[in-house]
Amino acid sequence: MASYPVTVYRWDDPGAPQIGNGRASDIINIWQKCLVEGYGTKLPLGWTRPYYDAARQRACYRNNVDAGGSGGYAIVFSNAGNDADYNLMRLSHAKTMSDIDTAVGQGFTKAFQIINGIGNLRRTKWVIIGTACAFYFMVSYDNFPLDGATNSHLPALFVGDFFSRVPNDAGRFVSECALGTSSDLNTTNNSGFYALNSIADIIGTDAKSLRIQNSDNSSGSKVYGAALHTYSYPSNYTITLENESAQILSPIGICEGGIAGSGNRPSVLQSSAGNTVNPYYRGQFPGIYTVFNPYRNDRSFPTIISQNGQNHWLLRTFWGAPATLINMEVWNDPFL
Amino acid sequence: MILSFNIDKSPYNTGLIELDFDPAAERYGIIDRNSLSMLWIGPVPTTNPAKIVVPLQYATSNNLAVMIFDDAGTPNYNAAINDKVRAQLVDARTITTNP
Repeated sequence: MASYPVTVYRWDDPGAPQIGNGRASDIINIWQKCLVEGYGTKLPLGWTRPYYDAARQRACYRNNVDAGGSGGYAIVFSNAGNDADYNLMRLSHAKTMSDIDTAVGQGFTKAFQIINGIGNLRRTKWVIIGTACAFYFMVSYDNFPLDGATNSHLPALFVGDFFSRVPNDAGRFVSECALGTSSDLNTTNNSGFYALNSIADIIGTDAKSLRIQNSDNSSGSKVYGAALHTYSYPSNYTITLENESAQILSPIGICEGGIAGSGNRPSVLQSSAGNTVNPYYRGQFPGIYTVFNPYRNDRSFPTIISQNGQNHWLLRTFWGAPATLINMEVWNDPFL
Repeated sequence: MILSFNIDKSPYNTGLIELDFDPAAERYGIIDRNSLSMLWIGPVPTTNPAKIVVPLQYATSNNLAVMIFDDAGTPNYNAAINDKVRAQLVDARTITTNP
């Protein structure tokens, strides 16, 4: 089993970069510090930034091949190509790139935005939980508990290699970001992209959101989505009881078409039988789990849960009770 | 925690291209020499050799062409191409790629 040590970067670390006015340069600066340069006493994750255009606020990050990464690219940029306050950002990924504007084997392009809030709802707290190969980036309110329908419009995204069933999967580098609807897969229309919440939310509500390139470098791709065993945010959002005893941590899979935890069933295609280039069940997101026992929705942010002797970051939910955890110490690839 | 997780670890055949580069090369590409469809293009890795997975069919034919490009300067060197390349047949579980 291959293991990847995890580093947690957060807004209140000594020397940590800040969100400021939610500009593209603020976001790219946070990524640059966490992924490439480090800050304070924290070492970076060991990624590189092969391409960067400060004038357009467009940056491409590549994960660490020497540490087991695929060498895939994340493309993050200001949608307007400028550095205005509270800018709409867009996110995509590619298997490889030839220059800053030439992506090869590109996935869907999505969007996120730091929205200008008031008082406790200002978006001031960010966290990156990641490895040399993948990371989660989340933004939270200045002071608001983990629950409730008020919790909307918060960026949360995944970038990097998922754990693939296919060894040395050439398509395993992806980016996943909240969507308004499944039709908002490649558009500049930002209305759908405002519905940003926790990663638990996007995985729970949108089942067809990942375009993954073929695993053997042949040309072609297939659309996948997250597949859950249990719902990422149970619907009773007034829950005040919780059971913090040992949980079963359910991995979040990546399946053709995806399976939201709302009772939808997967449609396994007969044509997928024996397919090894882009199999129906492709792999799973690293280090993230849903649990059957949700946590109290009035918990403060951030909440760290100890499970199996390791710390886990409890994800915010926009509706229902929090029930999704990210391991803060080590991510284990079960397929290797 | 998943207490029991039995994973299929039987051999997983695939094609592999392994390349050593001229120091003047900045980028390289791999194409199907019949269709000229692109399998890979990317920067030369910091350490030789590059190792790229290719479809299994290229391990049983001589149907790849590999190119290197000098992007620096005017450029200084013309592109170079190795034709009729056959991929190695490998078990994808036992290799470490270096794209």
